[in-house]
Amino acid sequence: MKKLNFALIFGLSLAFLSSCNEDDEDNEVITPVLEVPSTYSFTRNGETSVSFSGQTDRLDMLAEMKSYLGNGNSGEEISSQTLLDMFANENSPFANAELNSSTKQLESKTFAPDITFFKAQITEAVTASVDVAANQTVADQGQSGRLERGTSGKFVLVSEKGWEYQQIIEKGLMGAVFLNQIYNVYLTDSKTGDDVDNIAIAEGKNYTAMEHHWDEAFGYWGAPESLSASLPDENDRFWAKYSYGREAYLGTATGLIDGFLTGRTAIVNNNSAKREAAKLVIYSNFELAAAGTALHYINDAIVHINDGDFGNLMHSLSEAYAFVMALKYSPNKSITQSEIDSILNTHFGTEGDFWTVSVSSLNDAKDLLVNTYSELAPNADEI
Amino acid sequence: MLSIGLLALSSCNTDIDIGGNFNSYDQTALLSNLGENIILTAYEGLAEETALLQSSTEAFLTAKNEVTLEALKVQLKATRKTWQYCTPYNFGPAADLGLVSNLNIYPIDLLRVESNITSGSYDLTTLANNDTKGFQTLGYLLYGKDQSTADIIASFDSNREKYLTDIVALIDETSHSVFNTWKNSYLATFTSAGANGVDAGSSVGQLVNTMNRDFERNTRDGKIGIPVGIRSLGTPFPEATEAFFADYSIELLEINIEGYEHLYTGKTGEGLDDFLMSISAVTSTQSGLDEDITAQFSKVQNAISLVNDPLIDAIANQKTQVETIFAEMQGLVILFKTDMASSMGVIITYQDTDGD
Repeated sequence: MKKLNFALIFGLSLAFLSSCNEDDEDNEVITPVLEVPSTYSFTRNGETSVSFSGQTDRLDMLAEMKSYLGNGNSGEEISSQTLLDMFANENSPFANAELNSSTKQLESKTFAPDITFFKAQITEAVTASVDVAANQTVADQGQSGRLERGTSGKFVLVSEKGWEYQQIIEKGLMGAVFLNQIYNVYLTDSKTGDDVDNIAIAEGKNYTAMEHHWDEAFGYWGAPESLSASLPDENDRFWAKYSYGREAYLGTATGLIDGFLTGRTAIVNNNSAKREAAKLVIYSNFELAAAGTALHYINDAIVHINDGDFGNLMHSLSEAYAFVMALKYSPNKSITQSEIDSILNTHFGTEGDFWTVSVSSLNDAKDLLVNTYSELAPNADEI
Repeated sequence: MLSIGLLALSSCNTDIDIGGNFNSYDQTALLSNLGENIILTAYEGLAEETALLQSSTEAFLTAKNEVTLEALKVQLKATRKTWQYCTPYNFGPAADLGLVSNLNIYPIDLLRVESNITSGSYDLTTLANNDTKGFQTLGYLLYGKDQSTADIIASFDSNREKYLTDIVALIDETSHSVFNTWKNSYLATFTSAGANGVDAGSSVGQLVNTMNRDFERNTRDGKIGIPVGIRSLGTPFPEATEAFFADYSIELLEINIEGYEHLYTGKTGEGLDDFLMSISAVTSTQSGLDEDITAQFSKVQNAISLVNDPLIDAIANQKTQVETIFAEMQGLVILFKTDMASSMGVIITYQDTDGD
């Protein structure tokens, strides 16, 4: 509040001064109001005021981790040192040298209570990969190993519960890092609330602290600044890819475009009511994209059960599992933690053992999601 | 037919129908005929046969002898034949109730089947048992492989009897649930005005997607392609034949193709062919699509008629003829998936393999 008052006084005095200098008593000075642009393009003095290179670094790091985990799916032995180094950005683990010299890392931004979970997944994935590389072990209930996806000649490396490590880790970190940072850091009052400086230009930069924090939230979304309004393109990454993927039925990409653009515009215009309203739009659209994507993969899993295709089934269930996990990070979520737990630990098999799921247990998960998110209902089978 | 064609043409001139003239086709008769006379009838036939399978099983277990075993085998075959008319419709209740997963996943996991029987403790609805039940497992239990009838009968101790009973019960229950759900509620959904159109949620959209996926994956690949080695560098995979133990895979395929014909022609009522004719659909080379599809059905049937069961022997002795069946079915895939779907304005949304 102190800062706001100061800002107001400072702003008013500037307006007063300038009107004195104008020496034009007929025209009241009106603060220019920025219209909401169609791309994520904001400038000050003709230069961009947008910056989120740290987020892009972390997206690139997760992309390399995913790619490396893919070697495990291909039947190669993978290294836990490499993966843990990638997680913490230590010992120059990345192929992209710029990432090695970056000060950013994934681990320190991970939802703290989940760090142990992801490290355990990494360790298990490595053990399973060593076994498969040596013995081509086929996975089964209670046995980690590999499974072919259909007759594609491509395999997935799965745990003794059928979890595909690559998906659980990559999609899991999309929630535990990216969504967690958006929800619980950048959209909170401490980063984009009324007390955050929106006047002073950061030293050597072209943005205010609040503008920058908003841009960092945007950066974790994974969409290009050009914001192609319709179809997913190759530039949409991580959550952008999935929010565009659910656009046709749920409008989640246009919802997020609207939220990020109106919020950033409101910050430029010092309109805190509009900024706060935009946050709610962002929260609800990310949550809907996660719920819709979970449903999409549940539908896939039901198809694969009827195909008798264990490889694709475990892949789809692993995706679904990670997207349901992602629902927990929102402080404003519509679903309860106990409902999330019942999907993860009962509907997706006893304690998440995919070998114990049935078509009816997957339909129970589907019903729970559809009942919680009414937007899913009209196209529940097609999403 | 001519007047409908003209109507379709005139509707092309309106702004509503930019992409093609499929919107001009009134789907009411199509959906009610397919829903009632083709799909529901197929499920009704299946449910009748699975009930008989249940009673034949009871008769066999009450008095285990060659006569009751033979009667049960005959009933198993009759049931598998009626199943062939149901395969294109794996959406709605069939998908939600896991019909295929409980009836016809093959090849099966023999080790797990035997370990389930030995332990007597299993939950057949769980994923771990997805390939330990259904028709092929029944084939294994009743025919064995190179076992005498006397040995088969003698093998039925109490655990094996229970397993047989449980598998048959699951087949019968699921088939009845799907039939009843279709009859009591889903038929109304399928034929409702709201399900008209060709987008992803529409009945035609769903049907064309599901039939294409089943035809490609289960009819072309599952019944012929994979056993003949199309997916294994030409090395045959006998265990992957549909009736590996009972040796009538070709006969089942013939009926399955007939099932697809029922869907396409609508038998005596409105079928997919009428949709195509009413919009004067043509192929990319401008020939009549209906004529091409009808001709391609004949080619598939002719190719099948040159091959005899058991399919395993045919693959060993006349592999080229078996590969011809695959090639002709591939011809039908192209007509269904590319020409028919695009003429109807249906977008094929499934993918052969998930890309990510």
